Amino acid sequence: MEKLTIKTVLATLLVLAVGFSGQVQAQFQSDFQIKQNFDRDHAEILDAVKTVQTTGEVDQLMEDLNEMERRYRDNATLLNRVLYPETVQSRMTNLRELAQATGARIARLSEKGDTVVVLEERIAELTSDATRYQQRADSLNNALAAMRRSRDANAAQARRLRQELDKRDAFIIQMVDSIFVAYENVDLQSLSPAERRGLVLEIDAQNVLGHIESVVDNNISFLNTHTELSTEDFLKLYAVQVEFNRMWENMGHDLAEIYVSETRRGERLNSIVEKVDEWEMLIDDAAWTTLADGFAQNNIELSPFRNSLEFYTSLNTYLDEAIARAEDNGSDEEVERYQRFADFWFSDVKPRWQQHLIDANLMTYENFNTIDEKLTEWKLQAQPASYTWLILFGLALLLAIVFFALWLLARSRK
Amino acid sequence: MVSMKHLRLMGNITAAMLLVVAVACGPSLTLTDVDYAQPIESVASPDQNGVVQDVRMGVSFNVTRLNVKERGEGASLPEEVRFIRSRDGYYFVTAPGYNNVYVFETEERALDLHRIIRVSGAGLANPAFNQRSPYIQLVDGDVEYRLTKDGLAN
Repeated sequence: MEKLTIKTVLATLLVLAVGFSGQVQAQFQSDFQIKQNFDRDHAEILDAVKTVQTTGEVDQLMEDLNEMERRYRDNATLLNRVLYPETVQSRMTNLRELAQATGARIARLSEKGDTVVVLEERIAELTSDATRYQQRADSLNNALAAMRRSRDANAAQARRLRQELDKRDAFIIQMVDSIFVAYENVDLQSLSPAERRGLVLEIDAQNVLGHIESVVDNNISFLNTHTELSTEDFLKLYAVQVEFNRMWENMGHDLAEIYVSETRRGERLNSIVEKVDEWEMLIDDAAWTTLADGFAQNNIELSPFRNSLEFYTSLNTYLDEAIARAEDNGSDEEVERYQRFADFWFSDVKPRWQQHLIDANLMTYENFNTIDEKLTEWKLQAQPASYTWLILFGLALLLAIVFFALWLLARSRK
Repeated sequence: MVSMKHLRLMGNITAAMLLVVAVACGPSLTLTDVDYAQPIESVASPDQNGVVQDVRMGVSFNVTRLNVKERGEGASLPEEVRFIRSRDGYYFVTAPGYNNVYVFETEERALDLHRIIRVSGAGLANPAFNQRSPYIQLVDGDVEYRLTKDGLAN
């Protein structure tokens, strides 16, 4: 009993001594060091939040956070002053919320599988932006409708509003593209019926098809009501349609596979497909008509064309005929005809249309190079036959005769 | 005999002097209850020109002449300088290896030495300032000093 008491006393003294020395240490701790330690601990936990992978690790992280909060409780006043406008509390709350969000994500991952969760997150993230764009598009469409009613309506205003809508269309296309890049990583066959249903519900909930359909609807409506735009505007819209088609063809198969068992949704897909076809037909018609008008207004009579191949063939035929004609008979009239085409080609077609024609896969750079080469050939052949060399030859002959005569004269005098 | 002309002249001179005094004094306004206390010390390494700065506190100054005073001509600059501003606006500056804490008062674009407080004979090993208004606490390992602008506090 006595021994025990001595041991207890000694142990108590030891604890007190350690505690006291600790207190002395703590008493003379540098405030700067406390701040440094806090920053270091905060950074370590933040790093851990980023790399944590299991719910067990998340639980450990929450315990570490509680311990950290306890450790700095006595220094909260000092830290609040140096962290201003943040506080220790706000820093800890942020870390906890991050850890909790990470924990929830890990739980979902283990429940649903990695790829599906990533996909769902991507859809949710992108569609929130899409909704914002949709609201903007609605107000722009209202503005367009109001403008059509106004007597002051003009192409420039329509073009400006159209540019705004283009941004939104481009975003939707990018969004859907991005979603389906994620889809490509999902082996749809390997998904359980529940997972597949989950994906379908997610797509419906986030109104992915609605966003896609709205792009098509907006463009059809625009093309039906705005015929006053320039060729350049229509070519830009053509490029949008081509980009949309590319995206749609990529995703169509996957969508069909996901929706295959749902009759009603399948019908909806078909309805979108029909609208996409209508859009393509409208823009095709508008673009080629204005393109042909552009050449006609410049007195360049191309043979009729209704698609890119016909357009390119028509250009080539026109130039080949011109070159052949010029080879037979170069003249001032031919030069003037060449000049008219070249002015239009180099002032309008190339600077304003070339890029859009290429973007829309209607022509290639090689096509343009071919036309340029033929134009150079035409220019050379179009020049009227030059008489300069004849005059020079005549002068040279005259001089030779004069010298010959002088030589004969000199010789006869001898 | 003072003539009217002299009286008028003196009157003019007096008026002019009053005007000069009034203009020189300008508007007067003093704000009180100012607390300059920097909550936490600044720790900064001198650059190649001897300038230390704390971007967060928005202060920088050259410690070359301070180092000459502490260590003599030609001595290398310390790796780090520690400084803190007290509640009444004085800067306390020291560095590892220094024997003294230098107290400066602020002037227009300058710090004027107010006091040198000797705290060590062998040089401070690991000094750190803490704000403990109305004092500045200097800790070095297990040793603590309480400083005021005029020296060691009791």
